[in-house]
Amino acid sequence: MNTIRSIVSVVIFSTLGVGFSLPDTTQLAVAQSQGALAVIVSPSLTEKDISLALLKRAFRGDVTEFAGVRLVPFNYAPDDPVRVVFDKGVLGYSPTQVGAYWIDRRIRGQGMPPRTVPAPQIMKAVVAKLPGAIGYIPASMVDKTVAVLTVDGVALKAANYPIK
Amino acid sequence: MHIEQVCRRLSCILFGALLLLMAAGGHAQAPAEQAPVAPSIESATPEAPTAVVPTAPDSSAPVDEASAPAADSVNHEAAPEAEPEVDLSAYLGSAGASSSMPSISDPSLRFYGFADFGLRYVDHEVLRNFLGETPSFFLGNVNLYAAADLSENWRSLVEVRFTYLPDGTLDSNFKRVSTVQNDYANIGANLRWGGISLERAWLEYTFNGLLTVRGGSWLTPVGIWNVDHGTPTIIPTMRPFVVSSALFPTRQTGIEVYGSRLIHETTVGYHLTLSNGRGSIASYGDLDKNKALGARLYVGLALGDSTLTIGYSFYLGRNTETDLTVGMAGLQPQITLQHDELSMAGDLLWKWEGLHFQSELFSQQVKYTAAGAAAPPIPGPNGGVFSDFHKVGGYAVLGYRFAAIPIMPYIEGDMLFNNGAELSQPGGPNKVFTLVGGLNYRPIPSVTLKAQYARLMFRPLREETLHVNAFDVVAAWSF
Repeated sequence: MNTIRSIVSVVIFSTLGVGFSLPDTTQLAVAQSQGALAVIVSPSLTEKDISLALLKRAFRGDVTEFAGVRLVPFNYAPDDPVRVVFDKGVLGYSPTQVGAYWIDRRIRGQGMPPRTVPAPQIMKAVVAKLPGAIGYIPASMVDKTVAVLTVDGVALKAANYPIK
Repeated sequence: MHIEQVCRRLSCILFGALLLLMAAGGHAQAPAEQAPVAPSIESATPEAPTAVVPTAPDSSAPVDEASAPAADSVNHEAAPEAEPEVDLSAYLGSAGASSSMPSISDPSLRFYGFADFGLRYVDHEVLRNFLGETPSFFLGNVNLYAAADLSENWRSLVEVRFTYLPDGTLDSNFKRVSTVQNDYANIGANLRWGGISLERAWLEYTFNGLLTVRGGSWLTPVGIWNVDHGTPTIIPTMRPFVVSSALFPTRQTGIEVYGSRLIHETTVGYHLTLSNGRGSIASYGDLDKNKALGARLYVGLALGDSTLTIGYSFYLGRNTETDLTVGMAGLQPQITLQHDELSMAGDLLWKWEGLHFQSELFSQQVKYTAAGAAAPPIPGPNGGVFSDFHKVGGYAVLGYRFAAIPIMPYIEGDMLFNNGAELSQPGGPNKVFTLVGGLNYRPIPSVTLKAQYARLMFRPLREETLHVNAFDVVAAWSF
């Protein structure tokens, strides 16, 4: 009986002692106003469609091949609104969860997070130049220097496009 | 009983107060800081020092007012068609833009680590003799990593743990070891030195997603807990007793090959290992001609909003210990212990939104060779030598991480059975059961606060069950 009482007291007392932190939804709402995000690669790649599962694998840090080349993912800073939308849509993680994920991964001795670039203009330039580079930009910034991939066969402008 | 109740309440009050302070701090923060991340990880990527993007939203150059972004928001507007050259060398590596296949990684050394500190109370008179009068504050792990991406395919990792040990441990005569020495750098002062434990050090080469070859000293790729490894990552305050009992070797020195592949939405992966196995010098020497083999196979399934990972591991090896004797032929090795070992394990990890369930089952079968059956410290019924034994154990952890509040209440149970016939058999008591309840609070990704109560029940061969209550409050952080 004392054992059960001890367990319950630790759990309940500690739970009541915790305040409420502002959830990540506010940041996500701001980020989602960015619209759809285009997944971009070099125009030299022959494949034009990528599965959401493969995209998730690449940006979770696992070695991923696509169209015969190893993908080199590029990200933005963790608090960038575009990054927030991408992480939620592809990884299913809030910014806090993303931070925890990469900390846990490096403690395990697994790979480091993708490199970051400061702006979509640089993202386009890197992706256009580096074979295997993969990134994402707001749909409004797409031009002919990069190729846009469909995701699970869904085009960027489709209503059911998953990353927006 | 009074001191026990006081300590229980002290642990609860201390942890609750700590959480209240964190909550108060959280309310005082600006909204933009409510979803903190660990900038030290992500900012490891070097920024291009000369990158110039005149059309960046925060540029000081005059822009069309119609497309001018709000001053306090980040808004990636469409860039004009003509863009000046951007220096991408920082992102493309040392090969720069001139190479047809630029390297994307410069050799970069990153230091990071984790540590933990806590307060522990154990209400068992015998254990207190080992751990000190409790409740006691303790500095647990202080681990430092040095990681380097040597090139696109080569990677290195070294991890060390700094520890106060062997200072304060009990020797075979139950005398406490003292490492106090005069500090030559501070006349009149004493220095208490500790030790460094090499957790792992390896070099690996990645051919592709299916094949990476790793050589060095690495953590045995068995199940979940041994890989999770660090206190900020694991959910409870300490590893389950069955995991601490090392039915698999915690680490090995040799070669590991691993890889994984995505098939539709299912990940299939493997690890294969070849090593010196277990032993007192296994980190740098093999005292027999048998190399240990190991493997892990796992499948990761995406089931709607949940993920399920199931794995199976095994280890097969021979453990040999020798002393050297001086004879007519000079120094000769004399086997003091030798046994063959087969260990198997199954693991399961299920995550569904905030729900987290993980479980592992272990089996270890040990068979002594004719030349290597050692005598136990206390003579038993098996003719004065250790008997073969079969240990079976497992644990399960169930927790739920709330979305709005980053706390996870959890419960855990673990057990370990040893059917060996000798007292003081390698591995300890005959049966162990543990029940755990606690709270894991991760206010920011780098910090994890935990409070836990554990009830341990040891049932050694005398059949008298020993009950131990343990209370822990731990702060674990990564840096």
